[in-house]
Amino acid sequence: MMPGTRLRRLAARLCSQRAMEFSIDPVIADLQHEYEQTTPGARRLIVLADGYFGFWKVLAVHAPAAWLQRTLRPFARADARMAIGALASAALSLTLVTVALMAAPVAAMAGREILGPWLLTLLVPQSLPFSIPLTLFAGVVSAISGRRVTTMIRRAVVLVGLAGVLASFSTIVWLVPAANQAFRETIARSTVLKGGAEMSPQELRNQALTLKAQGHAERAGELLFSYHARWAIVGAPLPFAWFALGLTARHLRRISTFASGLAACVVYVLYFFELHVVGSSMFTNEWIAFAVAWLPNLCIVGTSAALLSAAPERPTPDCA
Amino acid sequence: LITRSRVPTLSSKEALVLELLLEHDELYGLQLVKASRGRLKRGTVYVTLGRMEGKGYVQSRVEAAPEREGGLPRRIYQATTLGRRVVAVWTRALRQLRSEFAR
Repeated sequence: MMPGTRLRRLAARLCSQRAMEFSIDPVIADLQHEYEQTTPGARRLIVLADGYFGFWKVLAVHAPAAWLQRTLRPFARADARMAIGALASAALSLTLVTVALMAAPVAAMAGREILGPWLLTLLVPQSLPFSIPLTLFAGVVSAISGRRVTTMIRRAVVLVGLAGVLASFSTIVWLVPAANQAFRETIARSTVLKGGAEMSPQELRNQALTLKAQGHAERAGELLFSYHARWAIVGAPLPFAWFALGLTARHLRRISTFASGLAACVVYVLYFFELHVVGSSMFTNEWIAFAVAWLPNLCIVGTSAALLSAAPERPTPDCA
Repeated sequence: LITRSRVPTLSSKEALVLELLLEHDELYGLQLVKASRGRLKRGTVYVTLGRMEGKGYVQSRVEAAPEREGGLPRRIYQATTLGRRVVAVWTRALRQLRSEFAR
């Protein structure tokens, strides 16, 4: 067998027809020619090594471009309305949930002179941890509604969910504590000590452990639960994206799917709000705090898995 | 008005390939690498040649029948008329720039 034959077969699977014709084949042809012209021995090994090195360099240029083209082709063929619909739904749900969660603090401050655009801006980040999962839910439902749930769609949803987790992480770890503290200092017009909501997760945990050591079990439990709840909410976009996938796979009416997502989100928010305000010495046990905080995510994942496994097959062809 | 996108561009590697092809008339990729004395690398010459073919600076043909049994036919390259014109203008412009900035 001539050298480069197996490599050519590999390249044919990875590169476009044009890249094969104008780049890969000439590399291999020159390698074979040079190999034939060289007498067996050490020189031949150098020729082979040099030729293979050239081949891999050419492959490194062409294979990623061809892979990207193959990956994007099905998405490019999918109608643009799908992407626009997904973005519109996501933007609408982001706005609605953010406004709904801002309503209570804004109502409490209504009529005060201090309430202005800056304070309203500072209230936005605290709504984001809950609006990000619902935004993802709405976006995923709009994008894949009516489609057969293929492996590629599952992967895409997981990727989108992970992107949501990253957004949630930066919001909860940095943005919310900073915005809350700025809000309090704007109201007080001076530097104020941080409360639980203004602390970073690490500060919160340290404070909780200090209080626990000092015997303040109630407050320590409350902070420890708050600490674990934050990480659970950071992870929420992924279960919500998966939940959207599970509901879409059942081929319900779109309004029913959206209503289910909204109901899940309301229950989710209430769960944390109710438990958050109830200081409990029970949560000084970190395992209990962890389990109670992650329970809603677990329930959503379990429900989604059940929905997906019981999903009926849809005969309509999928463009993906 | 001549827009920037309509002006033929030539990188230093492309200029070198064209100069070598003008000197030798027809060359294989590997011959180009050897003739360049290390200025062209084996891994990049084929990508450069592919790009130049897209721009219309070079044309290629596959050799009639490989001497080796089971081997692939080699591809041989030649400068096109456009390639010759571009490299001629490029060389003139370089000469002018050099004399302008040598003062």
